[in-house]
Amino acid sequence: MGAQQEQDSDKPTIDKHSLLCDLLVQELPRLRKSVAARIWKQDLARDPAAVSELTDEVLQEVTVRALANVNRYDPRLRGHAWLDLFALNILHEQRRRIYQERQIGIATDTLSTPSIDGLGENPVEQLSDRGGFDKVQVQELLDLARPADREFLHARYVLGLTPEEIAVQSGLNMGAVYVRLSRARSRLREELSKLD
Amino acid sequence: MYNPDPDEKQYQRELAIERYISAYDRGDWQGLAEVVKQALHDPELDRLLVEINAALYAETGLPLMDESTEQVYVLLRQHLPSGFTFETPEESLVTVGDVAERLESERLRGKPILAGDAQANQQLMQDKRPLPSRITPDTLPNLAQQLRVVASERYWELFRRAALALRMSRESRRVSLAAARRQRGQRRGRVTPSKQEPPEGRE
Repeated sequence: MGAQQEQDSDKPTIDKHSLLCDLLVQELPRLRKSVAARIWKQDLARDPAAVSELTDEVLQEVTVRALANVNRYDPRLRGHAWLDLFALNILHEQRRRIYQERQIGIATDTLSTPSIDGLGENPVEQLSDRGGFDKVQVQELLDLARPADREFLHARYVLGLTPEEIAVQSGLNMGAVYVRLSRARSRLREELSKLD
Repeated sequence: MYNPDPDEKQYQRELAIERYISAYDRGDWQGLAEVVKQALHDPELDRLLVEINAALYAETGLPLMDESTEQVYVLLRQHLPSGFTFETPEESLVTVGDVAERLESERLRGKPILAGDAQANQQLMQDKRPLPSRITPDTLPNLAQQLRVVASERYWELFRRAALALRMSRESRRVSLAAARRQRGQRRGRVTPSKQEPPEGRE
């Protein structure tokens, strides 16, 4: 009876281990891109070989921490996001260490995310609002945008295409479309601020 | 109970994505983490973040990253050797969808592909059929007919090369895993008495 109970209490742990191994195999190769991009963007490594090496170190640590926290792993949660949270914590620690080595202050650590919810006073923020906006005003705003940006903004806010529809038309994937739209809005915001 | 309508959910996702990209540009990893936490419970947002991360990586201009799972297996073997069962032959089979996904990731890294071919490739990404045992320039037209997608000759040649590369990568992984298993088996045989659990009945 004691042996049976022991066997039963092992079952969930073994199942979770097995699920977590499958998750790591599936998601770590995809996580490499986001880790490498963040390392590059934040200048934590300054050449492709160093980026690759640091990425491998971070992913190794993600593996160790994920396995150490197997009992907290809930298969109902999105696995990629769960692992990405480990990666972000590790990158944060790495950044502290690297910046200290370079003796640079870490002012960015305390940045709070500005609110981009709902209507803002900046007309560009109103482009994010799904409610009715004046198409003439939007067109005037888009006249300030660069030609390449205008194409995407026009498709989204004048023609009303969804990012998915824009992706099909442009041959880009959805992620690239969202990034292009976000960058376009950012640049438009800068142009608008020059006029004020 | 409040159930946001699909439009509202999509709107909230777009706001989250905007916050994510903005946080990425500012190096605000706390901001990134807030959106990722939201994605824990939102499969669609999680999927979009994966694609956005791929696009952000493509922006960096960093060279092609080896996406084989070989390194992951090495890490897992190192840290959880007991967590693996034997690998079945089915696990090393390459499917049509696997090849299409590889071509898609190459496209995101800047390898040019015609718009019509990209569309055909998107269709094939859902295809779970295993590849035929031989894919040669002679057998390609048959394969194209079976898969029922219209694509250029250039695309099918890229498809053939990607399929071969994937097969080789999986085969080398299968061989290295088998070697690791053999090594482990040999090491167990050499465990010294001091490392062993005392037999039952002894203190």
